[in-house]
Amino acid sequence: MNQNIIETENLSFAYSSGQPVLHQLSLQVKQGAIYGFIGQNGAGKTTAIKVLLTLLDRYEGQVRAFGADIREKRLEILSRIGSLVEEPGLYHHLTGWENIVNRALLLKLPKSRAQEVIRQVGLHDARHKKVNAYSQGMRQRLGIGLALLGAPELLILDEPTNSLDPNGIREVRELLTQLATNGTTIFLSSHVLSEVEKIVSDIGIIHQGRLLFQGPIASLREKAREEAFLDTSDNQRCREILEQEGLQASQSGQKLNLGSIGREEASRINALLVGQRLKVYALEWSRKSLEQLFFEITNSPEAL
Amino acid sequence: MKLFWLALRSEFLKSRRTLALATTAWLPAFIAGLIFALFYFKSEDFAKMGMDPWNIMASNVFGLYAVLILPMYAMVVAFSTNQVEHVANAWKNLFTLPYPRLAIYLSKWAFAFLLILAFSLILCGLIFMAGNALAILKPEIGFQDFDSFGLIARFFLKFFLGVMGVFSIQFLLSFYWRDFIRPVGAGLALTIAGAIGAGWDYAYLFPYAATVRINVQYQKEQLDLFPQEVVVSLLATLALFLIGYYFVLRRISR
Repeated sequence: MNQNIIETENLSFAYSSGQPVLHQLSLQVKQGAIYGFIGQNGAGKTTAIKVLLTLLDRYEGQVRAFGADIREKRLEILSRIGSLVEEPGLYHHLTGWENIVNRALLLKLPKSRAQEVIRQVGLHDARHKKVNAYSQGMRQRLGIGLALLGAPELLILDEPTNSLDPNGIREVRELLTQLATNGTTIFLSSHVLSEVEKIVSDIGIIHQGRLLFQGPIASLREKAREEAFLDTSDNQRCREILEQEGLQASQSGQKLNLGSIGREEASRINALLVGQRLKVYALEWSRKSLEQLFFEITNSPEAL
Repeated sequence: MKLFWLALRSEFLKSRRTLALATTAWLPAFIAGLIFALFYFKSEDFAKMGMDPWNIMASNVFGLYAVLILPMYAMVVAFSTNQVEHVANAWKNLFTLPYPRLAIYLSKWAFAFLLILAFSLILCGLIFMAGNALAILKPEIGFQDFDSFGLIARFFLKFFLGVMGVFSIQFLLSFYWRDFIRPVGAGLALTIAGAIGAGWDYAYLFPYAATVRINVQYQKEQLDLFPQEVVVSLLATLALFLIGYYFVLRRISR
C-alpha cells in the first residue's frame, strides 16, 4: 500500500528557450492515493505531467514510475497509465463512439470495454453524435473516458474538471473516488484547491516550479490554525473593551476575529463582555479554508 | 510490428470523413468520367485520327495529372493526415500510448503512402475500364485494336515513384507546421517552380519537377522505370523520412 507509484528526485526542467520551469521537484505518490497536484496557472504542473508521461525527456534528476526509470521502461510504464493532458485530444470529425473504439483498437481492447466506459462517463446516449457537436463538458468527459479505457493502475489527469459545470464536477469527483476505492492511483492537477480537497488523500503544492508542500491533506489541514470569531450587539464597543484589556480583535466580515485563543480565554472574554452589558450572539472557532492557506503558502512560502 | 499494424488500422479509422479519403475515391472517378465522356461524345473525331486511342487518352490524362493533379493530391494527403492530429491536438495523446514513437510516425506515413498508391491504382484501373467500355460502346474509335495499356500502367507506376519526393517534403512540412497556408502554399509555389523549370539540365535533382519530366518521357516513350528523377525522388523520400523521425524525437525533447 505504501509503495510509491510515482517518485521524482530533484527533477528540474527547462524548455529550449532556457527558462527553467521545474526546480528540484521531489514528488512521492503512494499506491492507491488520490494525489492533488495544486498550483496556479503557469506553476509548472503540466510540464511536470508531461515529464511523467515521457512527453519531455530533456530533464535533470530521477523520475520513476512503478519502481522503474521512465526512460528505461517507457512502454511498460505507459501501458499501466491512463492520462488526460491539457484538453482532451479528440477527433472532432468522428463520433464519440468512434473516438473510443479507435483508442480501444490501439490498446487491443474489445468493443465491450468501449461500451462500458462510454456508459461510465455518461455519454452512451450521445455516442453517435460527432464530437464537434459535443459541449465542452461532454468533450472533457470523453477525454476522461479515453484515459480510463485501459483500466490503468495509474490515472494522470491534468485539470480534469476544466469546462465542467458543478454537476459535472461532482460526477467526476464521484467517479475518481470510486476508481480509487477499486485501487487505482490517481494523480490530478488543478489550480483550484477547493475543487479537489474533498477527494484527495495527499497533496502537493507547486509554485513557480518549486514544491512548497507535500503530504497528506490532513497534515495541511492541521496547518490551518483554528481561530475564534465573535459577534456581539455592538462590535465597535466590544473592540474598545478588548483593547482596554490588552486583547487584539480585528474585523472579519460581520464578526471580530480574536485570533488563536484557548477556550479558557474565550470564556473570560465572554464573561467580561456580558459584565459590560453587551449581548454575545456568537463565539465560535473556525479554521482557515485550505484555499486561504493555499494562497498564503504560495504568496509567502515561509508561512509553512 | 503488431503495434505498427494496429496503428495503421487506427489511421484508416480516423480517416473517415476526411478530405484525403474522399479525394482518393472521387477524384479518379471524376477524371476517368470526364475522359470517358470526351471520347464517347467525340468518337467520330477520334475515329478519324486513326491513331492509338490508348495513347491519346493517356496523353490527355497525363498532361494535367503530371503538372497539377498528382502533386496537389500528394500535398492534400500529406496535409490531411497530419492535420487530423494537429486539429485534435492529439499528438501528445498518441505519444503517451504504449507504442514506440517510430510505430506511430511510420503508421501515419504508411497510411498516406497507401492513399497515394490507391489513388494511382484506382485512376489507372478506371482508365483501363473506360478504354474497354469504349471498345464495346464505340468500336469505331479502335480501343480494341491496340494493346498499349501496359505502357500506360508502367507510367502510372513511374508517376507514383516520381511523386514520392514531393509527398515526403510535404509530409514533413505538414508535420512541422500546424496550419494550412505554410505547407500547402510552399508546396504550390514549388510545384509551379517545378513545372516551369522542368526542362533545366539539373531539374532532375528537384523533386517538384519529377512528374513533369516523367510526362515528357512518356511522350518520348522512354520506358526506364528508374530514371534519374525517380532515383532522386526515392532517395529524398528515405532522407526525409529519417529527418521526420528526428523531428518526432525532437518534439519530445523540446
